[in-house]
Amino acid sequence: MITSAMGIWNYWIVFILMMIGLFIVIGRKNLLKKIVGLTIFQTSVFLLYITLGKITGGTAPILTENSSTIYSNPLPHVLILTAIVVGVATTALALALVVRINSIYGSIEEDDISAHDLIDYHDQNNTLKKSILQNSK
Amino acid sequence: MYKNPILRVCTKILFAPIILFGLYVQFHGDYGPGGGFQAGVIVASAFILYSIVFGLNEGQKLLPPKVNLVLLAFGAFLYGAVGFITMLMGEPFLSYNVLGENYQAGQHLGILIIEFGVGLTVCNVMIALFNSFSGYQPNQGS
Amino acid sequence: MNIELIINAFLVTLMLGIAMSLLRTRSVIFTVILTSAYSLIAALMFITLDAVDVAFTEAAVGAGISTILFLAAMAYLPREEEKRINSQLIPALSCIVLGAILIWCSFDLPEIGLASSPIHLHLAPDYIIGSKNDIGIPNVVTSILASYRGYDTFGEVIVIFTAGIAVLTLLQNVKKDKKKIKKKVIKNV
Repeated sequence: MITSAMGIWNYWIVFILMMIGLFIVIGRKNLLKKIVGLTIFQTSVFLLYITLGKITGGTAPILTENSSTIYSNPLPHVLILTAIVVGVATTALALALVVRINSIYGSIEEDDISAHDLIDYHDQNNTLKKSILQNSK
Repeated sequence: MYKNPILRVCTKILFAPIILFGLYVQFHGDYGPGGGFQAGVIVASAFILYSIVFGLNEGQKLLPPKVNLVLLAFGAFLYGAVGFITMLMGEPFLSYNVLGENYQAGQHLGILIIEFGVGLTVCNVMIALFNSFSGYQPNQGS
Repeated sequence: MNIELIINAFLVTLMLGIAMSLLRTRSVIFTVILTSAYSLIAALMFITLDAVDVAFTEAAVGAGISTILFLAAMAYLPREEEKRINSQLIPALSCIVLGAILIWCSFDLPEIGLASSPIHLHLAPDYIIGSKNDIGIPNVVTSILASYRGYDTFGEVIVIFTAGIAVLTLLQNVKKDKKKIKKKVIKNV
C-alpha cells in the first residue's frame, strides 16, 4: 500500500508544482514573476519526463563491461538535456524584452502597461481627429 | 568591479582550472557525463566570473565582442558544415560514418567535431547574453 | 521498500515547499534566489533518477547561468512587486481544476521504476545496443544526442544561436550608433 502510494507520489507533487507555475503565470501581474513562473513550470515538466525514464535498480546510461546491468531509459535524458539549455536561452530573451519594456513604459506591472497603452491610443485618436478636421477645413 | 584583493587573486587562480575542467567535460563527453552543452556553460562561467570581478571593460579586453560574435556563429556553422560534408561524400545529412576509415572511426570523429561546435556556440551565446545585459544603458534608448 | 523512492519523495516535497514560499514573496531578489534553490534541488533529484547528464546541465545552467542572468536583469527592474488587490479567484480555480484532472489521470500512469512500462519497450533498447555495437561510445546519452538525433540537436543549436542574436539586438546601446550617424552626416555634408 505504502509502496504503491510512493510510486505515484512523485507524479502528484510534480502536477501540483506545474499548477503552481501556471498560477504564477496567469495570476500575477508582474512580468518578472511571470518569467519565474514559466521556469517553475518548465522544471516540473523536466522532472515528469525524467521520472518516467527511471527503472528501479537501474544505473545511469553509461555502458559498462558487465552485460547484465540494467540502464535507465536514455531517451528522455537527451530530450531534457537540450531543453534545459534552450530554456535558459529563451528565458534570457524574455528578460531582455522585460528590460526594454521597463525602459520605455517605466513599469513592469501589467495594469500600468495596458493603462499606458490606452492613454497612447486615445492621444493618437485625438491627433488623428484634429488632423482630419484641419484637412476638411 | 571589486577592490577586494582576495576576490581578485582567487579569480586569477581559478580562471585557468575552470577552463581546463570545461575542456575535460567537452572532450570526455563520450566516456562519462558531459558534452558540448555543459562544457560551453562551464567555460562561459570562467569569462563571466572574470567580467564580474574585474569589470566589463577588462572582460571585453579578454574576449572582444567582435571575436565573440564570430565564434558564436562559427559553432553553428561547424555543425551544419559537417552535415554538408557528409552529403558531398555521398551519404545523407549528418551521417558521420563516411568521415573515417571505418564506421566507428567516422562516428567518433563526427561526434567530436559537432560537440565542439555545440560547445563553441553555447559558450559564446552565454558570454554575449551576460555582456549585453550588464552593458545595457537604459536611459539612452528610445 | 526502495530507499531511492524515499529520497525522491523527500526532495520533491522540498521543492513543493520552495514553490509555496515563491507564491507568497513579493521581493524580487528573494524570488531569484528561491528559483536558484529550486533548480539545485531539481538537479539533486535528477541524480537520484539516474540522469547524470541532465543533473550536470541543470546544476550548471539552471542554478548557475540562469541566476546570473536574472540578477543582471534585476539591476534595471523595480526591486519590489507592487501590492495590488486584484481578484485571483478565477486563475486559482482554473489551476485547481486542471491540477485535479491531472492527478485523476495519474492513476493510469505506470508506477515509477517499472521496467515493463511502455516507454522502456521501444527504441531505448535499440539505442543502448546500437551505441555499443555501431557507434562504440560508452555514454549512450552522447551517442543519441549527437548521432541518432543529430537533426534535433542541430535545431536546438540554431534556436540558442537565434535567441543570443535576438538578445544582442534588443539590448544594444543606441547612443554610439547615433554618434556614428551624426559623424557620417557631417562627413557627407
